[in-house]
Amino acid sequence: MNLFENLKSAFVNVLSNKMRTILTMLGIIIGIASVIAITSVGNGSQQQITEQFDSLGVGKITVSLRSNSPRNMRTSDALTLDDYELLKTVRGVRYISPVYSGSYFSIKLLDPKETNTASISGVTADYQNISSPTLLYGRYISDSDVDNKSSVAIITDTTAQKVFGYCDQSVVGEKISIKSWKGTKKYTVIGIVENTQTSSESLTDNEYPEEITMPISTVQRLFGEKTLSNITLIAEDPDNSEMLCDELIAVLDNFHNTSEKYTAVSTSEQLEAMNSVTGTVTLLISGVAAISLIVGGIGVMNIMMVTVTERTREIGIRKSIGAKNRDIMMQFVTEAIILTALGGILGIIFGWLMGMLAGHFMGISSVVSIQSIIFAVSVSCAIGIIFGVYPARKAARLDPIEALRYE
Amino acid sequence: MLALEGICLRVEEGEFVSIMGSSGSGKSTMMNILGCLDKPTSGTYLLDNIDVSKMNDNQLSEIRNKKIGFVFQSFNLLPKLTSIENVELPMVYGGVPASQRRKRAMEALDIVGLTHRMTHRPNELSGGQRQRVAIARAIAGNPSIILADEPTGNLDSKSTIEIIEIFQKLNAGGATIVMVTHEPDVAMYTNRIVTFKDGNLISDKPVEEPMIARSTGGVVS
Repeated sequence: MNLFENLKSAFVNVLSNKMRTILTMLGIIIGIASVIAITSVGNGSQQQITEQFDSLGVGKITVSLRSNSPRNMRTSDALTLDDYELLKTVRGVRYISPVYSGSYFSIKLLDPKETNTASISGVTADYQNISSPTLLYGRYISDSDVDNKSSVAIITDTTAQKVFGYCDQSVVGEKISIKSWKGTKKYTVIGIVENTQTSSESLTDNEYPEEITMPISTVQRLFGEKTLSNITLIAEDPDNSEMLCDELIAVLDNFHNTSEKYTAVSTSEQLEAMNSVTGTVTLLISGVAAISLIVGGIGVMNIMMVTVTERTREIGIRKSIGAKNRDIMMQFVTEAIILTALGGILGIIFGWLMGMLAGHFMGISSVVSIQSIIFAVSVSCAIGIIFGVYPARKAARLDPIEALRYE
Repeated sequence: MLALEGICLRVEEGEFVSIMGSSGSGKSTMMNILGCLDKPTSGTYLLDNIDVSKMNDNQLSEIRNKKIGFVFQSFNLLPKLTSIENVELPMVYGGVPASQRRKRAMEALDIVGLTHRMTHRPNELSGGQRQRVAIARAIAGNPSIILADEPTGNLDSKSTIEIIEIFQKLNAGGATIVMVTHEPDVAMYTNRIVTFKDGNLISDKPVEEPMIARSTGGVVS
């Protein structure tokens, strides 16, 4: 009996008892659907993380003081503009900027009674090339702003809306008020950039601080600090950022006469770390979901045992007219595979829908990968074979005389 | 306990033999051995001059498929298949190409007069019609021998005559037929009657003047 005949006859039998078929497939459907849904959400979040890191800049490296050893920390260890000047000379650095950021102060909003936390970052002109913001109006910080400690600021479009009630060219040149313990200071808006944080879309929502960028010199004076939060740079060759990281650390340790006090983290490294975490979590939950596949497989085996008993006479008839043991075996294994493969296909469809739904609520676009579909189909076929072989062997070994007598 | 002992039976090509005997006489075991469903514990069985008594399961399946056509008392058609599909089934296992299979199945159904019922399933057919489909299935593969185990046991007298008539027609065309029956009336339609009792062959007589089956309405119904 060839494969086509076998498939045809298996389909006829599987479809002849629809209710039983659907109930048997349910275990497989649920198992495959949950695995697909989980991996699609996992893939989606990984893709989202990758996109976010891409928007941060490829080959971006952040150098900072290692924060886990405060006990033997000396004031001379802190990063300063001297370190920035030093790292500037390291070969392989494309753009570099010192960064000082703090969120201790607040900004006055449109309503005179209202304020919101201001997250202020001090940078140099090079930072435009590092963070590549979308400049909507005005200009970015210039070298002369840094040199002159100018009272200028870059704000986001959302901040402009909250402070001035509108966002257009005319905001450039207006002043914002920053409240510190020393009193209120006014800064001239020189540029407006697009807010990249999608989460702070709501104008009335003050959950997120207002992102404000200023010249590093201005910020250091505002906060009364000589130190830096970190030094951010872009490598000439992003693929070589690991080696550059090691070199930067060595240069700093040498300069401060310390050992391994500094860290340099590249975005690619962070991305890998984040992806490995989501990957592990996805795998773990998929593993739990896969248990239901085993339960489903046992269900298939159970129903195949019943089918073999019910069709004992049919097996006898088939054998008496010339079916070999192998033919009977193939017939029942094929039926089991059809059950599980159909279940697998339905599971992929349901899992895809479930993933879309879950992704919609979680704000993630779920991604069903070809690999996970191939995985699901092959796993469900494998279950069909594994759990179908035993009943099929039982059928194949039936004695034709006994089988023909079976009522 | 031995079901059969010291049996020596020779069936020539073109014979129409009936095997008789009460239940427990060993005639069913005889049929199982003739049908290659069972193997004798000792002794030999030559079918077409091939010793089949020492063959393994797979070889016996092959022999059943190519050389034997079964007709059972309870028809034993597959309920989910149509008449023509049931007739084709042995050829499916025999690896006959689809087009040739259909042609031969049609011819077999034509011989038993059921071409107009080829797309019907067994539950849409009468008992006599089901047995005629079963005969078509038995002859479609062009076997060396047709084994019929009480083929008329579940049928009324009208259908019985129809079935016997088909067998006689096939026999006249050269087919070798061995039929188990416990009805002496039915046995009188064959050329030779072999009688079993308590596992022994007690009589083997030719029928001097076999009766000719003639159904009133003809086989096409």
